[in-house]
Amino acid sequence: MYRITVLLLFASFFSYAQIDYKSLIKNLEEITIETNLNEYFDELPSENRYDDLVLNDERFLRFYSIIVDKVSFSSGWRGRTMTLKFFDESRDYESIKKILSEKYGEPEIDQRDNSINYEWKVDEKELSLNVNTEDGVFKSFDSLDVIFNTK
Amino acid sequence: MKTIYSLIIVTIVLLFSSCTNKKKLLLKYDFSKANSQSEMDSLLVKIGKENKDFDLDTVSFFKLNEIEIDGMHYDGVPVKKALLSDSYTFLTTDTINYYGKKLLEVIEAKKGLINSENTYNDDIQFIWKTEREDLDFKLNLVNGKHLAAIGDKDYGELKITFKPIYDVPLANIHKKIKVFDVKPKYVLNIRSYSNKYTVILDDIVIAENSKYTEHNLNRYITDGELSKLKIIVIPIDNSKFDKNGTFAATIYDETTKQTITDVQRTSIAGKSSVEFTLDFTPKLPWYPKAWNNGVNLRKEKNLKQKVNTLYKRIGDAILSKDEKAINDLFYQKQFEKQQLDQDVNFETARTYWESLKQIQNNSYKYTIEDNYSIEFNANGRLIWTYPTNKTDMIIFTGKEFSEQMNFYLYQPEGSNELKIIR
Amino acid sequence: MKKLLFIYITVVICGCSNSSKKESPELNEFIAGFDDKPIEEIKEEVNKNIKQFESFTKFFDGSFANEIKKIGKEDERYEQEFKIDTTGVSKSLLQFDNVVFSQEFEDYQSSLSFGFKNPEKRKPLELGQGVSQTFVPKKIYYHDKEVKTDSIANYEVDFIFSDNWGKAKMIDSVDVLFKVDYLKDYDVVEVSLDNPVVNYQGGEIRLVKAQDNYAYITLSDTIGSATEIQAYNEDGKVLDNSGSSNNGIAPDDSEGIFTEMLGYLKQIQKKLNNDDFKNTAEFQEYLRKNLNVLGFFNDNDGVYHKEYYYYGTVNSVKLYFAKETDTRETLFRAYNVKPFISDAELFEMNTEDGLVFLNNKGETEISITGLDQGVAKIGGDFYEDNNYFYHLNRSKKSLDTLLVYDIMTFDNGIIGIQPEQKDDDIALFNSDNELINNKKYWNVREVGAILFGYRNEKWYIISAQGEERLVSGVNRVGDKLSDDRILVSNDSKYGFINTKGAIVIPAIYDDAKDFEQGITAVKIDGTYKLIDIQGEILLDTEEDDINFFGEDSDGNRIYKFGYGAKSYNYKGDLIEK
Repeated sequence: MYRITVLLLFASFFSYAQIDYKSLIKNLEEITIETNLNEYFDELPSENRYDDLVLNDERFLRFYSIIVDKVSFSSGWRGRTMTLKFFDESRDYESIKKILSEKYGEPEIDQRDNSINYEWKVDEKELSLNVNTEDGVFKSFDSLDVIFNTK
Repeated sequence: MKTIYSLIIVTIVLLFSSCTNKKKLLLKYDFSKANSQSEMDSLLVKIGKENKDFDLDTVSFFKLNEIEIDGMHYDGVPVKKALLSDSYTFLTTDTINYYGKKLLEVIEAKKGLINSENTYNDDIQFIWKTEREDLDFKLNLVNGKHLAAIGDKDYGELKITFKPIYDVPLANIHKKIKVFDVKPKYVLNIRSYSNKYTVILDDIVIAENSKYTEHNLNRYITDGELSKLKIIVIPIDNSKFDKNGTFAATIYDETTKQTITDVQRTSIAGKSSVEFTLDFTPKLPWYPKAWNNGVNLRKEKNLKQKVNTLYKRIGDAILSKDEKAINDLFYQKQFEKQQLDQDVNFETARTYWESLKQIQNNSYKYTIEDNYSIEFNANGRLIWTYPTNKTDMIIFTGKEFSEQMNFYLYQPEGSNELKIIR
Repeated sequence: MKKLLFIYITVVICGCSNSSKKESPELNEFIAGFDDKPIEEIKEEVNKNIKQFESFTKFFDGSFANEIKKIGKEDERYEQEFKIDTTGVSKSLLQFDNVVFSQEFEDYQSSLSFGFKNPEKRKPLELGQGVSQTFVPKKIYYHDKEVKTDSIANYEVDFIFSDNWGKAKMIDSVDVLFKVDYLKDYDVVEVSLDNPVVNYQGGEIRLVKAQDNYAYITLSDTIGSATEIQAYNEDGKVLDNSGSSNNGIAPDDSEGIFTEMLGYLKQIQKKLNNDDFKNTAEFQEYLRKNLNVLGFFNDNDGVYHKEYYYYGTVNSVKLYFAKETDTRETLFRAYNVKPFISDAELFEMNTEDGLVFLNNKGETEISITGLDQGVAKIGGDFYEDNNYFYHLNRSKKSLDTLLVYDIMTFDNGIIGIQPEQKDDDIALFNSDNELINNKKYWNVREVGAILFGYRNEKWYIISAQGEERLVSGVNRVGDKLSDDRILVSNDSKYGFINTKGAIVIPAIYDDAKDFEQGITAVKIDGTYKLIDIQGEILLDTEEDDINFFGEDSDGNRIYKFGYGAKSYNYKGDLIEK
């Protein structure tokens, strides 16, 4: 009896050998200058393009719960830069603006004919949000660059 | 007490699995179970037998069957349409019930997560390549937006291609490769403008008057003793170096990007040839047998004859398509090279074997150079031959096909024949 | 090959329409195709082909199994309204001065496929609606001087495929009559839902049914066939045609051409497998009696049935009938693309028994049995198949296999061979596979009919006997021979040699192009000038830049300088803007 139970349980589990997608989600707002990226992204597929680390599976990338299309990391003379690309949803644009303003205060805004740039500067990092507009209204995201300052 | 407890568990499990397995009972033909093209062909025959009115072609040479039959599935995900040829299988799901998403998840559970391909449209594509099969999966978005927002109508297309199975050890070297904690890859990098370099490592001429400025050194390392690397530089037009001429070189570990030793930038202006040495002690987790037990070939009186005999052996093995003989000739060289790189990629050995197969299938004759000079390396234990008339030591010829080969050779102690080692 | 023929013939039969006589010629041709076949072979072929035919029909599900359906306005597709377009007629008569054909032999028959000497021209110009072109062979000039004029009018002049041209004998050239028939005047008859019946030419045209994308029209037997039939939607736009079928019998009577044909073939297959036929003749008799019964061979109702499917909703149909046509014609001569090098040349022919080599009279000189795979001639006595090169050993009457890397042939009969690999020097041989000289060339190239060889950094002209003539002071030779001039250059200056290798225009120019019609452009002293073949300067363009040549409407060169600032025609006259 016991053996059959174990067997059946075993069989039913086996037929659901699936990946636990939810547990693999990375909340990119957690990343700092000290984060060991190779360890952090260990279980996810990634690419090295010209020394930049790139991940683009939106199933696993979030920034303050907003879905991220692609994230890339590069090391320049200023330190580490994390560049995020989002899907062009205007409600995501409103959310990011709201969340970053709440966390980092009022941004410096540079508004032009077809684009707007928002800059937040704090001790550990600088954030630069660039969007494209048409007639003043949000059209698409360019990118969100997070520059981690070296100490 | 125990019995009742077990009974409850069993009932729950049975109920649970029967609810979800109801669909499974209707799924009769599982494409994920085929492990080779012949197993896929058997599945086609089975489908044909149980669905006589479909009249499948299981006989023709270049058969192509398009099937839409109930019960087809890929590991539990229903398949609406299957296109079976004798070299690939193409499955398409229906545009309902998130079948596209389910198929992706089922494949990822089997094969793991990988990077998607760059496509020029909205489709999302993943290609898994393993030694046995290639799985090319495409998710076509219908009412979904992207991978994190897949719609129920998005459907999947899966192309399954089986790879030929090679039994010869030469094609299966990756199965024998040991991986260690450290994976040093020693590279010599020369920084000098447009000259010719002769590189000698431990009395082995790696390059002679060559323009290449980067050399992989691992394959010439045979032990952990001190290694001496000598570089002889001459100007490209054989006169004198430019007045601004400088030379710098580094030996570094490509894996850790650490410099092992280097020659700082030095002026070489006005000279007609310069020599530099770099000494280093390679620390590899594994050392090959290589030519360590090779005899001193300077003393060998019939050396030219032995060289000729070896190349004739290569030629005959290739022309007669003798897998065992070919394997005996090249295995040690390929294994040691791959192990020194700790290369576990299954494509390395398979690609090498397939290139040898190409020569076997296309050649109808071989010719061996009979006028060549011999260079003694590694204290006479390792030789390289320089052909005078031909472009290499052995040329294979077929109809509008040619290939050529040349190897480092040594003679192991106790043997009377030369062997290919690099 | 035979399988395709089977399918092709069956499709042809199904496609044939208005010839609704008792014993149609297509049927006879089909039956005659079995004449020399043993019954066992027929059985095997039918069994094999039926399977292929079935899968073949599945591919055509779309176009033949058309269905009546509603097509929304946004999905409609249109085409141009019929109008006579004779603009190309005059030009089409002038396009045949460089026609060639290649001739192959198989089973004691010749097949010819035609083409143009200019490799960029693939097939004759397509002409507009209302124009039809036909080719009628008039004379065949065989290499052994025989001239044939009878029974050749039905040979096809095909620029894509090859067609049967009778007995296996080398042809030097053929005279072909090219005819263009075009409509000068036509009648238009319109039938529509409001006016479905029209009388014309003593007969009746009736729009039997028009529903959504479908139109079904009948025409009395006595009316000639329409040149063009177009359908209009309710806005007066001409709809694009998506499918049609023409039958001797009404649509509802036939299940669908392929299904009926297939059913019939299966009956034949069953009888064959039952060994119902003692020999081929009985089989052919059976075919003759029974295929006639099939609907589309048997038409008694005196009416043509035409069904059409369109990309849109049909409102009316216009039929265009030719009233007056005009014909223009021209006679041209096409030449065998392989020039004859010697009368001793032999030509290969694959037969069922093996490989046969014919002389230019069409007689068998050498016969090699037991070869089950065809070879093709490279040139002279050298042949190849997919795997090997061969030399025809005339004394031993066998094919010697040549294990070499590559063989190249030249028009003057010389053969170049690279023995081992791609970078090998080229050794030169004659047709008997003997070395013509003991030199090895880094590069061998034909310019026009002159053979050039490059060795030791020098260019030589090589004669058919292997004698070399040095082209001195030159390290590059052009690839075009025109007006007896070939462009050459030393390190930086250009000049011209003639076909004997003599430098007739010295290398003094900084830039030069090939001659055409006696003139070319060269650059000297800073500007481009036009010169003649003696090197005499005809004019100075005063421009220092040359653009790519243009072409006028007759294909003659236009010289363009200074980014279009100045243009000259092929005669050297300045073109006014």
